Formats: sequence, structure tokens, C-alpha cells
Amino acid sequence: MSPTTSIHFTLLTTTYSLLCHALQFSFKSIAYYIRRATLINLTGLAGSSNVTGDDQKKLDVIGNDVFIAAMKSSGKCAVLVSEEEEDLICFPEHKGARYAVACDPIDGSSNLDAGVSVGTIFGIHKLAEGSKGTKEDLLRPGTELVAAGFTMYGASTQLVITMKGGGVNGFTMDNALGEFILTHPKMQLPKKRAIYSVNEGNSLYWEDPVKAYFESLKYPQEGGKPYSARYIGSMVADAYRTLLYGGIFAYPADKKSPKGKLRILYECAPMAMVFENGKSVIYYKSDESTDIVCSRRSSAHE
Amino acid sequence: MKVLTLFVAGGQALTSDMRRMMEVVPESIHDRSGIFMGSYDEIEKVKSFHKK
Repeated sequence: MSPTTSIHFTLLTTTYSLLCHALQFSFKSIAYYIRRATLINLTGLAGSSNVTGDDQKKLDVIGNDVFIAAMKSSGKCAVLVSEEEEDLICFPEHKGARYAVACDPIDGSSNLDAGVSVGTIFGIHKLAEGSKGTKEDLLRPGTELVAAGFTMYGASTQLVITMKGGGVNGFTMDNALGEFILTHPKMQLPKKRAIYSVNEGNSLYWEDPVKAYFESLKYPQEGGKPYSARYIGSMVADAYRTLLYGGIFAYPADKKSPKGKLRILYECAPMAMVFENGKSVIYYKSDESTDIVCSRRSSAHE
Repeated sequence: MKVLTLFVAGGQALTSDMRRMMEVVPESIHDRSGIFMGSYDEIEKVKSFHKK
């Protein structure tokens, strides 16, 4: 490594870690407000609706404000897309900012008042060479994401993050220390598991292959065991369980929503990156060409 | 000498038309998609139903 590349590398990593600090700050703050919501009258509607036409909860508004403030004050985020904001938010005052961030500050917020787990999903892109931060920096495929992940505000606060070409790491919030502790290093998605997670209330609208697929899980061929159904209705919680235990989570496009329901930038792409990067050895071939399944997690449970 | 070939893969995430989710370029910032994501084998099963 030449001295210039090494300086460049140091600068980049400093920039990235400052951005990550700001992200962590927003997760901790959102966790704090969610956990106190019922006590300090933060449940219920804010009296407004967002881009999607969803009624905004008070916590949606707070989560969004916290996230935007954290990104702005990091000085490293040039442009931001939030589920709660129709347009993108630019921070032209930060000349050195090289990142574009997409986020859903509180995903699954319709579940909030019932005390069901919700989460924050985020995806981070690098600005294109010479760009000052525009829409085009975010309208990129997931393969170009620098990092992505989510935080789930459940029984504990769990942060899952992955970087391009890297593995997936899970952290648990230690409330006493106020820090995320690495509790799930190198997370590996089990190769298979008989659990399905989908809103079956939409099955009337499903296309035939989707109907046939889910039927096959519930009514297996002779001798087979049917799958278990697990649907929390909060994407982050359903995704986190699927990441740990395996199985499938789906929100198919259907006759009612031909484009699907979940958002690419701050729901689908970041989750896809986490799932693809949760790599494990799923089988190996010896020279005798015998396939031996050796997925460590799935075999442990079977 | 015995040769071992390891097959390493993570989970998979596909759109409703069975494209790789990671390769989708959104047309607008709030663009939507259908999604199937999960364990490698489970997604292979979804694919097989869409080929029929």
C-alpha cells in the first residue's frame, strides 16, 4: 500500500466510523423513546399521514426527526431518504460528506401501541465520483451498497449489520453501558427450516405459483411434515427470526398490489444484503462425489 | 489426496418475478417490490414453483 492509498483508506474509515456512530446514536435514542412511549404519552397518532398514506404515529415523527438530526450532525451524510419524507433530504453544507443513506426509522410502527417489536432498517451507499449527493446516488442496485442492516427494538435491542463483501454481525444493546455488544459474530443463515412467514390474509389476491407454493408447505406429500407458520407482521422481527432460525419470509406482489408492498431502498435491498451475506458452508463434495450436508446450524436442530 | 469442494452460500432474496433482489434498480426513491427471502433451500423451492 502506497502512503497515499493508506492515508486515503484511513480517511475513509474515519468517515465511515463517524457515520456509524451517528447511526448507533439514532438507534439508542429511538430505543429509549419506544421503551418510554406509554409512560410519557407517545402512543397513538400524530394527526398527520406520510408519503405512503399511512397515518403517522407520534413515534414515527420522533424517530424520523432523531434519524435526520443524527445524520445531519454526523457531517458525513450528503443525502438521505426516509420512509417518512416524500423527497430526499440533502445536506449541501457538509462538503466532505461522501455517503447516501436510506432508512425506515420505525418499520412496523402500526404495531407500536400493542408493544410488538419494531425496527429501524438502513442502507448506505457511497456517492458517485464527483457527485454532491443526488437522487441518482440512491437509485442504485443493492449490490452497490457499502453497508446495510437493521436494529430491532424487541425484548432486547438488537443491531445486525453487514458490509460489502463481509459477513453479518449481531450486537445486543447493553442498557447499563449504553453500548452495542457483539453477541452474534459471523451470523449464518441456516440452509433450511420448516417455518414460513407471510400474511396469508392476502392469499385471495396471490398469483397461482405463490398459492401453490404455500399450499405445498401446509399439505406436504405423504410422509412429510407441514411447516410451522410464524407471522409477526413487523418485517424486522420476522426477518430477524428467519435469520436466526431459518425458513422463509415473503411479501409477494399480488393482484391488489401488483408492485408489492415493501420498499426497495429501505426494506428489501438492505434485508437482501444481510440475508445473502449470512453465509455458511452448505455442502461439500469429496472426490468420491458424495454430497454431505454439513450446514452446522440446521443439522444441530434436526 | 482427497479433494474437497466447499459450497458456501448465504440465504437468498428474490423479487416476485424471481429476480435477485440485490440487482433491482429502483425507479423512484419510494419504489416497491414483492419479496421472497430466507434459507437457501426454501428459496430454491419457491423458484421451482415459479418454473412450473
